This record gives sequence, C-alpha cells and structure tokens, in this order.
Amino acid sequence: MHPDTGALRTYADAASSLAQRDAIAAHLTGCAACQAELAALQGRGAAVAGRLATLDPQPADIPHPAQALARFQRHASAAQRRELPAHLTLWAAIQRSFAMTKQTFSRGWPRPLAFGAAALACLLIIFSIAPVRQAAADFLGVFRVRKFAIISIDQAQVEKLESLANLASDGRFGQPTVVRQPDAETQVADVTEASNLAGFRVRTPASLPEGATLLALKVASGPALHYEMDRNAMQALLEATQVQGVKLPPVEKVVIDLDVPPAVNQVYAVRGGRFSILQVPSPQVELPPGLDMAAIGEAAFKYLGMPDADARRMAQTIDWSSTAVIPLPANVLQYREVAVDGVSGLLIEHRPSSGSRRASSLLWQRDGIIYNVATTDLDAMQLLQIADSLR
Amino acid sequence: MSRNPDSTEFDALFLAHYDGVYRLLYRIAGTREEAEDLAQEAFLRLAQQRFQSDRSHNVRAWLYRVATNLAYNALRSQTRRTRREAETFQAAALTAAAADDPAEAVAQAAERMTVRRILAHLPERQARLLLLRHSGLSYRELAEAVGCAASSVGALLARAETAFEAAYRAEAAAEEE
Repeated sequence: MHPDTGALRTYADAASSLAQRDAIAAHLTGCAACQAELAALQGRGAAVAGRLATLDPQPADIPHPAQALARFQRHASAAQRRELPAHLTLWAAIQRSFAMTKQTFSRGWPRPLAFGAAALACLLIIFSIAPVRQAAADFLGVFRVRKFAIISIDQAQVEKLESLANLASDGRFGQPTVVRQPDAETQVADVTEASNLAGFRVRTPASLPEGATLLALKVASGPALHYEMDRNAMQALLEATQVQGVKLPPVEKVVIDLDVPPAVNQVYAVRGGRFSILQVPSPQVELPPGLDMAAIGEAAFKYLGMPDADARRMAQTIDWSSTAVIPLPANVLQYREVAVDGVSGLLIEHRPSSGSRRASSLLWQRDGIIYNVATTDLDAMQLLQIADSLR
Repeated sequence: MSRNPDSTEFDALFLAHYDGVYRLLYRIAGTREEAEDLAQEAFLRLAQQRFQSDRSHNVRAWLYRVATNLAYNALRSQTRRTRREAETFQAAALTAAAADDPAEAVAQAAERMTVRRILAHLPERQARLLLLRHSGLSYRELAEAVGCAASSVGALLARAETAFEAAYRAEAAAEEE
C-alpha cells in the first residue's frame, strides 16, 4: 500500500516513527510514483522554506538576548504593577471579547473565522473561560448567571482549553453571526450618566480606602450574537475534545443566542496601585430545549481532567440554568467562598510567582447584576469592605 | 529587589528561547520594534505562569504558541496594521537607499511583501504552521502549538505548502502579465 501524502511529508522531514520510516523506505525502493511524490514534496518544502527565509531579520536587527533580558527585568515589574492580571478582571475579559467582535466586524474579512472567534470569546470568556461551557437550558431554555461554581484545573488543562479556543477561532465549530455590534468603551462624567447609558442603577462605594480617587468611569455596550451549531460542528467539537460516551443531541442543529448587556467599570487609584469595580447585568443565553445539560457538563468536566465519578456527581449537583462554572488554574489561583453584599460570593486570590504581584478578585451576583471588584494593591479585607459599602 | 528562587530558572529560559521567539515574531510582525515588544509580552506571560520543571520540554511549544497568538492579535488591530505597513515601507525604503545595490534591495523588499501577503491570505492555521515549522519546531511541538494530533502534522504541512506555492505562483504569473 502506498504511504499517504502526510506520511511522505513526515518522512521527508525525518520525523516518522522508526517502524514507519523503515516501511516507507522499503516501499520507496520499488515505487516510482511515491519516489516522484516524495521528490515533489521535498522540492515544494525547500521552495517554501526559501521564500519564508526572506522574512528573517538581518543580523543587525537581532537584539542580544542578555540585553533583552535586562530590558525585560526593567519593564516587567512596572508592567505588572500597572495592569491587573487579566484572568482576575472580568472587565479585561469583556473588553477583549468586545474588541474581537468589533474588529472582525469593521475589518470585513471575507473569512467567517473571525465571527466564530468573537462569538466564542464572548461565550467562553464571559461565562468563565471554558470552551465546552454549556450554560443552561432547563425547560425555559434561558440561562442567566445567578451563581458561580469553581472547578480547579491544572496547567495542562489550561493549555487544552487554549488549544480548543484556537480550533474555535479557525471556525471548526460553526460560524456565529453578529446581531448587534458592541461599541467601544465610553468615558462618562458621573454615575447618573453611566446608569442612563447602561440601563441599570450603577452603585458606588460609600466607603473607600484612604487616599483612593476615581480615575475613570467607563461604559461598554455588549454584542448580541446568533450561533448555530450543526451536526458536523458538534461532531468536530466532540472529536477535538475526545470525550467518550457523549451522544449528540437529537436535533439537526443547536441554536444559541447570546445577548450581552452594557457593562460599567469604575477604576480607582490607591497608593500607587489601583482597584476596579465592574458591574454588568447577567448576559443572557437562549438555548434550544431538550439539551441534556447535565450530560454535557459531565463531559466538560471529564475533558478538564476530572475523574468520571466526580464529574458525574458534580454535573448532577449543579443547577445548569443559572450557574456559571469557572475553571481556575489551581497552580496560580486559589479561591474561597465569602459573605459579601448580603449574598455569597467568591474571593479569588493570585498566588504570586516569580516577579509577579499579589492580586485578588471578588465575584458575586445580586439582583441580576454581576459584580467584580479586583485589585493588585489592597488586601482581601479591604476588598470586602469596599464591596459591602456599595450603595 | 530580592531574587525569587524561580528567577534563575526563568532567566535561563529567557536566554535559551529569546532568540527563537524574537525571530519568529519578526517574521510575522516585520519590524524590530514590534517584534521586541511582542517578545517582551510573550515572556511576561511566561513569567506569570507557575510552570514546573517537569514540564520544561513543553515550554518551547507553549512559548511559540503564545507568541504567535500575540502577533496575530496585533496583526488584527487595524490601526497597528496601518502603522506597521507604513513603517515597513519606510524601513524598506531606507534600507534600499543605503544598500550597495538599491535595485536588489528593492526587489528583496518586494519579495518580502509578497510572502507576507500570501501568508495573510492563507487560512491562519496554515500560515501559523508554516511559520512555526520554519522556526524549527519539531512535529510534536507543532502539534501542541497549533492544537492538532501529532499524526496529522505531515498532512497539514503538505497542504499548507501546496497552498502557499500555488498562491505564490499565481502572484508571480500575475506580475508577469
């Protein structure tokens, strides 16, 4: 049997397994057709390599690594001090996903890929970062965030999620359309203007840490997306996750509508650092009835490395119509439940590693609004005091 | 500033991978300034990871993937793209003026722009695969970096090269007309 093109291309790069290499070498001695194909592949590979080599930097344009490291060390601490870690601020996540949606829209790329990326970013990032996150659908088929649940994942799982997100941005799981574009963030003068623009009453803290001053008050309007996933796309997702034992829903396609309301962010400076208060009404996701969310959730947990029995138990205990499941990388973040603003919330803390700063983030939901207070410079007690003083 | 015990390990990784990451980013971004900024950002991400030494064989694939993501995100930004094109043009013009053989320098700049344009029009995954392969990643690292099975790298690479060459030939033919 002739080796296929992929096997020959691998052979040309000397990247085949030993057994495969020997088999191909043996086959090649007697097969002129495969010899010709191999030669063509080698020629094409060399041609492409030669053309790509024109993009290489000139020697004068290559910085010395040691100098680059010195520059990195000068800037890294400053950069980390300025920025709240992105995984701790919902605002950063929202900004990112809005920007993606907007860019894809304004750029007018002929490829549908970008819409997939944007919709997925909204779906994924706003409801935690889990690509296989399947919010919702009790008999109403409407998901709103009322609770948060956290599952711990490790670095390998974080990378699995990232590679899944990459596949999604290649459009492998379907092509969402933008129903309403998000707007860029608007700087507003005061809370009244923010409330009018956002359409809900924005709350402000009655007590602030000493010396805290308001740096910025911003409103960003969210996108609305329509997402259809047909059986091919569902199959592709299943194959990419390699989760066993999941049946496709008994429908030709799954239609998901996502509507993200405007978000309001207050940023305060305090003692050379800063903290932010984000408020956003829960995004709404409409899903078709008949999806077995517990089964999908169970598959997602298994994908994230949970043992089968635990995945089943966890999936059964979660109310999938109202719980946003957040996978947290346990090696960098720790969390605990806290009483905040009269409800139960989550305090997520960053475990500082080399050169990075301590950071913490408080997440809760009250009366349909999701709140996130995040900081690099205050301790958890101060964060809770600010949260409890919201009026 | 007290040195964290992790720092030495980080510094070693930085020195080992900086050159490769920078070259990869330069090929995508096209200017030294942007490649340096993106490389800084990629290593900042690495510093924020609490990676374990037993995973060190994955650091390169991880780093190159993060760097590629950052570079492509930057490419998507309209304003940066416009600015970059202007800068690339200027840089090319300056190099050409200073070169011993201005005509040859101009031809090289045109060739670079053609290659860049073809990469931009390929499906992004194919472009990433070609750039990462050219940057020296192994098949296993390529699989990790683009998120596919190691067994399908050969086929994907062959397809990407075919698409690239077809587009290149089409451009060359169009220029001759």
